[in-house]
Amino acid sequence: MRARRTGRLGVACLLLQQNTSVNRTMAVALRVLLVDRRSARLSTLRAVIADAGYDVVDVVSDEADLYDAMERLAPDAVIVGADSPSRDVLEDVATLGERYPKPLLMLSSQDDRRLMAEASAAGISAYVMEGLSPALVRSLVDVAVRQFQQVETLRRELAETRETLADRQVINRAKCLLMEREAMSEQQAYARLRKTAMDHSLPLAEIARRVMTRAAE
Amino acid sequence: MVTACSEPGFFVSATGGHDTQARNAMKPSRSHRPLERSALTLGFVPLTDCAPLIAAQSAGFFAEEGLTVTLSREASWAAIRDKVAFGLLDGAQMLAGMPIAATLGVGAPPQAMVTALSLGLNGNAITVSEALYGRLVAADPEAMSERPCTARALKRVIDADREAGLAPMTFAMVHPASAHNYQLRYWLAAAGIDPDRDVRLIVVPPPRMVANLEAGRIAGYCVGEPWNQMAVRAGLGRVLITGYEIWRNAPEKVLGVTRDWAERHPNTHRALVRALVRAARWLDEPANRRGIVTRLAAPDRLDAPAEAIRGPLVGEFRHAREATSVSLPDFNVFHRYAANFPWCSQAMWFITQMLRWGQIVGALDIAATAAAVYRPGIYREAVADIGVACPDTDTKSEGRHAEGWALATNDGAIAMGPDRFFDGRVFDPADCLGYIAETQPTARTARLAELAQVNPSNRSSVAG
Repeated sequence: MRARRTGRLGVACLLLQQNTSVNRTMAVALRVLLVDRRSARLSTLRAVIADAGYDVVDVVSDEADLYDAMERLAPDAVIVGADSPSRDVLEDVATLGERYPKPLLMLSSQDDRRLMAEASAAGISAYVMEGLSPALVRSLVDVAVRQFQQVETLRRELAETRETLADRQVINRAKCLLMEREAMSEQQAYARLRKTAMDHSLPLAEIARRVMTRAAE
Repeated sequence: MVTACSEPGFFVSATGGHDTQARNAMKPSRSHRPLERSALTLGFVPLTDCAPLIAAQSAGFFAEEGLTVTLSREASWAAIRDKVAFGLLDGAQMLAGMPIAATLGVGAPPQAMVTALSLGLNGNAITVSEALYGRLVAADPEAMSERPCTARALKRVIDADREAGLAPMTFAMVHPASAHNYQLRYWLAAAGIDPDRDVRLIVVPPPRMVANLEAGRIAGYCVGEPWNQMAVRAGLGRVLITGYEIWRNAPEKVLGVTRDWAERHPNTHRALVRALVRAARWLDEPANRRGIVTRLAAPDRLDAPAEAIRGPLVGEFRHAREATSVSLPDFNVFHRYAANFPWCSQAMWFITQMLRWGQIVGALDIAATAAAVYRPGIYREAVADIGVACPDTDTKSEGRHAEGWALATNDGAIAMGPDRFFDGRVFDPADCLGYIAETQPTARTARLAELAQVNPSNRSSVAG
């Protein structure tokens, strides 16, 4: 297994010397295993990493037997969701011998450290074989981080959109309630809500929610 | 597996901490030392023994020290270590062996970490499946009726399985640098079981232990609460021995920060240690322990049933579903017995275990490494004005006391708990090499001759 790996990496390093940017041809040398709790996030990550030219050997749920997966697939690198409890399993696998990937806590330079901190913040952890080309690893982590950040941005935007919709609904309902109970016009009801919100330095939706709660009591 | 670093210049910032006069002269005054940083984020793992962090927050000890703390629940010890290393967390609850492993680069690239505070003692247990328990009782009823329970019956079952050509049984623990790993290995090895050859030892995240036991993927495990009580309550497993019985009042979790963070935030570090010591002292009151249960059970904390958390925390422990609870008041110790003091000697014990099981390859200065990571000097400064007595020495022997004893200090005597190992072995920090030599089942990676070269006699004042 050692020889197989060294051979592949040898080619990768040779290519790296000829061309400093990571391209598809050389990246093929790196065999990547993806481990995550959320399957939806995984399948897009798989596509993006494969598209960057890496060889995704498998995608496994973090509840799978990772000892078996690591033994069977012998990946050069593992990308795992940083929020996965199975990271401690990978930590143990790393102690089993040289032929298993090690936690990529940090690489040598300040830039690498920044990248790893960014990865950690984005929710990515990486385990890599010792002696891999830093450029290949860096690029792999970078691709995964960008993908996770995109997913996170989308998720946040969706949540915000939902919130805005919900806010608008509750403001409307509170307005109707005031119009009905206090015999106000729509404009008056809205003005009342807004003034109360400003007086209490609270968001309009929060005041609307309170109006509705009080009405329900 | 990384060769340990042992150049002399490596441990430049180690503090001796022996000089009592100097210590008194430096007695800090809370109001005169501005905090370098007051808003902190601390990591914790959902286990009963994160209680001091939760208590410091809810009972207001952080606030009283001028700290605004955000507690961040983390899914793994690896995440804790990385986030502390990257500065995403200021500090965190850590396995007692973790700052040492991180500093030495055991299992990961080296990152210098320190601890000035032990968060508590004990809290683990070894549970086996009902099926294995049945086999153990059948194989050696006499051994199984002894207390504390040894692994002698298990040895018989393992030998029988081997003769029958069966694959070794799988046992689980929570992390290579965990006290759980070292306790389980210690218990197995004491019965002549080689944890690396006679069984398969794997890591399973605590919340998944019970499911793995139920599915038959593991035969037993060593874990903290509530994950033993959960198996017992469900009738899926039985507790054979508690961590407390394996090694009375063993160090368990610590507050870990990077060495760099500690050097840049000395006042904040002391304030943090002080707040957590006060919280731990507060948790010594039975009423407060009962009160913290519902906070621990909350969805954003342990997210586990309050009944499973309550038992062990208030000292009522069940070994089996049909058994009545036994009283184990020291199952979790948060403050008494100088529980918060970061004993360099206990760090040395962890290092002997890392050497014993081949996690550290090559030689290192055991005492210097321990003193660079475990920092009793910072602890003493931190608690100087809150009426907590401190040991005068940084080391003590382990295993000499079957009962409680008194540790004399310049601040008066400290009531200490027993420190016996279940097999009666004694750990003398002044003779780590002898300890390794007598416990190592086979000549593993730690070569004693090399170790002897970098460990010139470390005999110094040893308490107990």
